[in-house]
Amino acid sequence: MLVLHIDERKVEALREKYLKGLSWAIETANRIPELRAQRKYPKEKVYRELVDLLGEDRVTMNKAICAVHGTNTLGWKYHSPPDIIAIPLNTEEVQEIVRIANKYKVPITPSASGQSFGSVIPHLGGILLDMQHMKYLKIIPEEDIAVIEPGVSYAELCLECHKYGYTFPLGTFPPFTSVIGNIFFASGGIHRRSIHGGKPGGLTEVLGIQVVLPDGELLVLGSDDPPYWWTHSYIGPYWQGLFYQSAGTLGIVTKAAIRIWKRCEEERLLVYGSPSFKNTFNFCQTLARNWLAQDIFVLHWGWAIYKKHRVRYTNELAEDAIKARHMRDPPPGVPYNFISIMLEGFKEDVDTREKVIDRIAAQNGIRRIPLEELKAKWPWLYEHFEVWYLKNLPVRLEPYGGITGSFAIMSHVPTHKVLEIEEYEVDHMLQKIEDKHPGWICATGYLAWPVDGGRLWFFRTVEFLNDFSDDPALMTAIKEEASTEIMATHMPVLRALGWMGGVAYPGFDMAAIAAADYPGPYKLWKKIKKALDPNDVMNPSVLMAVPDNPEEG
Amino acid sequence: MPNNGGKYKVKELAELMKYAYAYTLGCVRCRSCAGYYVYDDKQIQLKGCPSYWRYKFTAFSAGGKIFLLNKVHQGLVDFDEDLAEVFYKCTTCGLCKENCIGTVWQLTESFDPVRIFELVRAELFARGLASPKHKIFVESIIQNHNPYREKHEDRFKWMPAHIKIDEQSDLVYFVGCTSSYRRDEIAKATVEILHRVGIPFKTLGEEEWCCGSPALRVGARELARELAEHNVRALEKMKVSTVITSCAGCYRMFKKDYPEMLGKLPFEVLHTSEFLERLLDEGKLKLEKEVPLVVTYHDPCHLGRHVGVFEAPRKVLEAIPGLTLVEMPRHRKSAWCCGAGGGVKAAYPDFALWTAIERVKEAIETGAKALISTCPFCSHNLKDAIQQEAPFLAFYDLTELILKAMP
Ligand SMILES: Cc1cc2nc3c(=O)[nH]c(=O)nc-3n(C[C@H](O)[C@H](O)[C@H](O)COP(=O)(O)OP(=O)(O)OC[C@H]3O[C@@H](n4cnc5c(N)ncnc54)[C@H](O)[C@@H]3O)c2cc1C
Repeated sequence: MLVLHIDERKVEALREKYLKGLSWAIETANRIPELRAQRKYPKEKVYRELVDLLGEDRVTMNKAICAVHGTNTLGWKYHSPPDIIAIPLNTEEVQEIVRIANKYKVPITPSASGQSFGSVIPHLGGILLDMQHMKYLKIIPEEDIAVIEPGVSYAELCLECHKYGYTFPLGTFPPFTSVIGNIFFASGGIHRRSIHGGKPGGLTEVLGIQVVLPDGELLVLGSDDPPYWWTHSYIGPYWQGLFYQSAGTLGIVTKAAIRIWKRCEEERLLVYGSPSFKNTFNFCQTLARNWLAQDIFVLHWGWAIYKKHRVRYTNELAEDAIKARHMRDPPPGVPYNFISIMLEGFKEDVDTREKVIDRIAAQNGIRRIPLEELKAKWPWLYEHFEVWYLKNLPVRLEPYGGITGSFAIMSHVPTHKVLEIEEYEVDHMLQKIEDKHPGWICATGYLAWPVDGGRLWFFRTVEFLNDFSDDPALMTAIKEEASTEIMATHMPVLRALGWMGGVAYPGFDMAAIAAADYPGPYKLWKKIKKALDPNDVMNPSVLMAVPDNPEEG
Repeated sequence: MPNNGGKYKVKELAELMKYAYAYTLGCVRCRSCAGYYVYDDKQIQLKGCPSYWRYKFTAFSAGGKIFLLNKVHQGLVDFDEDLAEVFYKCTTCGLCKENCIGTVWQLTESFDPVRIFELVRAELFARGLASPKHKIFVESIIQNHNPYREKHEDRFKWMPAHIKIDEQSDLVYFVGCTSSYRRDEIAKATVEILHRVGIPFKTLGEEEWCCGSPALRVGARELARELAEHNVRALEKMKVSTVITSCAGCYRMFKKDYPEMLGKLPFEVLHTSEFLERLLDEGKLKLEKEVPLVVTYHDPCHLGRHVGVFEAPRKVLEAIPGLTLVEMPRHRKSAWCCGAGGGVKAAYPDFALWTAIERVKEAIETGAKALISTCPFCSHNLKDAIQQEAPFLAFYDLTELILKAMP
């Protein structure tokens, strides 16, 4: 056990800030009907114009169809569906839809795969621009590039890449997650080359984009035609950055040219079991600093064993896990951490690195788990790694969506704080939540991996609501209690310990935190939005109530 | 104002939601249920859910419907025409369950999408929200014991004169409405095989009523139960030991739904493909004539995914001399639906045809010269698609091919 150096005054100040943000978020959520009512527009007329543009098949006001989009993926406390859904099939149609929205000042919420954790809810109603069927996909092998539209999923991109002997770094989201949605708007995650960037794609891997601006004009930063991929050489600021992580508030990305990677001669998976996180950390940090692997992925035993069993396999091991109770104590025979390592390169090079990694593992008290053993004892893990690493396909058996996602905490952690953060999360956060809500919340452990050669670590903890009631009010109450606890108790401490923020909550909570933590950039974002989008049509709900947020001053 | 938070007319739906509500929260709308995703060396990705790919909106995926059910339970969405449109534009093929990445369905066996959708349909039906076309065929089942508005007395009109019914036999051929009134070549082939192999059999005669499948699929649960009771009682009276049927829909009813409604049945139920497999194993059925044909086999949802009969028809096909069976990429558990089921053929014929055309195109791509199936209802719809899209592709029911191979 470490002695945690927690600055209580700092924690207190942060707590106050977050709680204020949280109550603002709740208040705002309660005002949704009122805020929606303020955005009046001739619904029938807009609908008719959209039908004239797209035909009856791709526009709907059916209340049930719209209702599906009134809540985000994990959350269920909001219900704010769009009034209309429009499905464009190409950039020109997006432009026309945006022009119609502008003409009548209708809020328009772009949606790629619509699976994100908050910002795709049309809180102010209006049009949901559903781009899941925009599926243009072209691989340009001679340039190491793929050109894609927002409807192209990881599954589609990967399978197409394979035809040309290429790959795109894969995350652990569902196969049908939009690549553009993920690259531009997700908080980042593990992938085959995580040791470099820790985020699938990432801005540096986007070589060009086409954006429909709020007035319907098309901004081309790169195109299908070489040599215009390399937007870095454009005049003025790095324009692409404006549309990165801006959640459809400044423009709608309808096409992107992204970097793809030629697959290597040899791709090899190594799996290890570690007795403690300290051993894990030393081992992984050495590998990362020396760039010995392309990908390193650490799983807490709880995540590897407990939840998987609940979802797909027998409950036998899950029961063992429950009996083990303390998140520090895996059941007998189960390592504290599983570590998977991906090696890519020429065969001789991979052979050599494998030997070196085995040596470093032994020096750190870490055991190599032969793949046959993994397959026999933990077949779901084997299946997961096999698909992901060896077949280079998005995982079908993916580890997040198993049980009702309750809330997730994920972000980067400075390397010198990793051990402390792990200790706090396991001993003080996960375990306490389990104890407080026995049978309700399942503290699943964490996923972690070194990023940028070990300069940073990524940590992800997700809690799941795993025992059930048919009473929506009770479910909501439990979930809210747990979220509030995270926000009020654990977030400030984690933050004070050096954790770098980024939290996935439903609805406005995210905006509340962002405005509290990053007031400067938030103000600037709003100014830019005002200039580009005077009618405030582009996903206004993301920024809408921020002036009222007490934290913004 | 939505008013259904937990208040359902259909008792089974209310009961289901008691524990299933929480599961409805488990769906993350990833739409894996709507896709179909192959991990083998072919590495291809294809369309999965017909409803989603035809209608495009997320609501039409199974996950979308589950999300909606969640909202219904919370009282945020009402049972109305809009909801009915989403739930009825679904062939209830069940591929969603196979494709879900491990979120909702796999948590418990009884949280089965087809079952849930049918319970929601029962609720919609009870509230008068089924399509007028459904109401018409349900009415016809009540009046004529078949959904086709045909006369009950014409049910066995197709029976060839030379076929002998043996009232002493303990084997009953349950023909089903589609084979009787729309695809009688299947009924004829079936009895001809029995005749030539020398297997005595009888039928229920005028006591054969619709099996109830069409009623159950669109939500007329009470009627389906009455039909089940009638048919089972009639069979019990006849003291049968084995019932065979050439219809996948009837088969599913006898195999799965009747026992759920009435408990274990006092007789064995076999689909003709299973019966033929048995005859082959026992050496009673001899397939000696060459049928030099490349064929592909379409798994009917009600026979395959819903009940698990995948191998019997293939084994029988492979026993035909000279015949080559090639598989479509989507086969067995992952088969693409023919498009006819779940009341779709009646209420949304364009959707049914679109789905069947997708299947026919897939069959053509295998290089097969004939498409084979084991369900008259699939046959009905696939033949419509073939006629429109690919008249050069032959279609046979398994029984028809067997006849070709028999001496
Ligand atoms: C089970 C599960 C597991 C997941 N695991 C991971 C993980 O490991 N790592 C990870 O990074 N993510 C993960 N995610 C998140 C998922 O990948 C996100 O849904 C995705 O990255 C965001 O993309 P999207 O297409 O869903 O975005 P959407 O929800 O469609 O949109 C996100 C935001 O961007 C805006 N937007 C969408 N498209 C455009 C566009 N073309 N132009 C402008 N604005 C646009 C929207 O308005 C919204 O504000 C997971 C999701 C699920 C459901």
